[in-house]
Amino acid sequence: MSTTPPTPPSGKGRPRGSGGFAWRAFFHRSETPVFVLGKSRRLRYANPAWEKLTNLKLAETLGMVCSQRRHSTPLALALAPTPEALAGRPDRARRPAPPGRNGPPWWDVTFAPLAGDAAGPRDVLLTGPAKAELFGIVGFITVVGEPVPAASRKIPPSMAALRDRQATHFGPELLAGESLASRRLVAQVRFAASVAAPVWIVGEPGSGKETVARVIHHTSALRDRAFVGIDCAGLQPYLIESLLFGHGGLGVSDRIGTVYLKEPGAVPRDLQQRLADHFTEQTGTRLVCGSDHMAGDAVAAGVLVPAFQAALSVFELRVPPLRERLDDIPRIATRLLSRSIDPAALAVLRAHTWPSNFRELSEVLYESAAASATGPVLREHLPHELRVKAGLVRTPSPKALSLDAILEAVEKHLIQLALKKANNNQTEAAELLGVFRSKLWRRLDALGIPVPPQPPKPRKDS
Amino acid sequence: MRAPQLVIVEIDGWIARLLSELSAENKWLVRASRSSDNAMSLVRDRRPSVLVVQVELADDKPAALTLISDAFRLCPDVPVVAVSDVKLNDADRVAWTAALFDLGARYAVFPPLTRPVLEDVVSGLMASATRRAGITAPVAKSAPDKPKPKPRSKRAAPAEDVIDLADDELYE
Repeated sequence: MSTTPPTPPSGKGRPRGSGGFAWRAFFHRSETPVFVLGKSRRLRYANPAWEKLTNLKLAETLGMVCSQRRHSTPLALALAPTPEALAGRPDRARRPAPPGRNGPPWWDVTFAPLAGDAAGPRDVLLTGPAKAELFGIVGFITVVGEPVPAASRKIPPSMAALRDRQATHFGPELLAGESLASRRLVAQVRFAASVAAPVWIVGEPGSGKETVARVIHHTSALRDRAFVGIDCAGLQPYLIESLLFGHGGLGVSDRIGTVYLKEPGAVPRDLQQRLADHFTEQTGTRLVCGSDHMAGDAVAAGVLVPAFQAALSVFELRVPPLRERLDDIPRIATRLLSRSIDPAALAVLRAHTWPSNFRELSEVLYESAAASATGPVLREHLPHELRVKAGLVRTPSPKALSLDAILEAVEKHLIQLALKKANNNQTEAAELLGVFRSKLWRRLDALGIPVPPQPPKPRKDS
Repeated sequence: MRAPQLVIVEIDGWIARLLSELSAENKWLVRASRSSDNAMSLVRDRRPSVLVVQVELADDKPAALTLISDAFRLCPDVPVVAVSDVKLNDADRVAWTAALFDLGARYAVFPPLTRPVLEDVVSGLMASATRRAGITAPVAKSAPDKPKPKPRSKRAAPAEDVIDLADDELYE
């Protein structure tokens, strides 16, 4: 689509110094549905093609805030710009067509951020890294997908709404972040979603391999069908066989879009071969596998049949561990908790190496949020072991375990106790302790216990 | 070590009865709940957990479906088993199984439902969750009152030249 670069807009979507300007000059006759959001994500303009698509009049929706808040309408959710677009980079997102429909048609929304060049009065549709101030975003909608009758048959509307929510949640923006590793991951995921090849996802335990598989599924052309995740290590082989190849199994169903095998090396080799044969022949369903090892390494180690490496790991995608994308922790934390986090607490989180990756982070965050019922999550709410690691809590130095010193202390305490009971009478104290009086004297002297004055002896009445 | 827990969300307690023997044998903490919110707070506990949800296949009762979806979104490491007591034809069963997996269930069990199958599903997923949490399974100890078997005197190994009749039968 060709667009003439407009003059720099004001904060309300109009160019500075041209009060009568409206976006209609550019897009009114376009057959592509186009809308313009201001920098506060309010709808400033939409063309007649957009009105026709949404069955709404612009006057009714002007000023609508398009964001991914919980209470946003389905239309606002569909038009909400992605974090990439808000950061000033052009982006595209596939959204369920409102109102809350499951499956096709979908809206492919291309977001073109608008920014003023600081050097001059020229307005640009950003194509490179954004350095200038963002004035607004122009969105272009393309309707994609043909209805698949099998997808919606026999599924009640409430289920369809939940699937829509799931699809919206598992968008590429779920993986987006500030770090280079995250950007690379998002780019790879988008590429994987655009092709139909089988994918092998490799990553450390807890790094979010299944989440990545879900994002690929919900971004791909198979999104209107189901995603089936199978835990090969957790389910016995007969349960997996029954699920896929049993009577009325999912393997031959046209409802399945993506099958995700978690650790396929955990199933016996005969079942591996059967799975490999099935998914090599089956073209309608895509196979995505997740593992801690590369397919080649697993084959070399003898835990995986070669067919998985040859035909079923065409595209290998590595999920970076959390320690390689520490810059994303604030974003992940805010998304998980929907609450603010104190910068000091974030510093503690960044100092940890996260050996169990995203899984560990989410557990820590939930525990911290539970510790603070309201308000922001503070450093004090984080688990003790993290604070110790960050050097915030001093661990008590280990006490010396000198046996002689401990025994002397115990002996001293017992002698003092005996003297107290015997009212400082040393003879009685020695009897209580079961030692001779001479020994008690020696110990009093050795332990430095002051010799107490002896009580007066009772007089003998003659 | 935090004991693994089995969270069961059901209406009339029949799933808990089916799994009572297994959970007692493995010393799992069993928590039953009828409310989805309560179940969600239970599975967020830092311990290996499996969530078993009884699904009602009626459009006006989406609570169990919402729970499955929420549990997967918020606690993706907690495997969810969807169990239904409604008998379906093949087409409907496939449709529901696909839909439940799509929402995030790790397995869906429909009638004919047998105790061994349900036990296999739950025990396998619990073992997987326990492994993920980095906990090794405790070694089963023998009962203290059980007397140790007396060491038997080892029978002398037969010499090479002794002909074993059983071997002869095998080779025939």
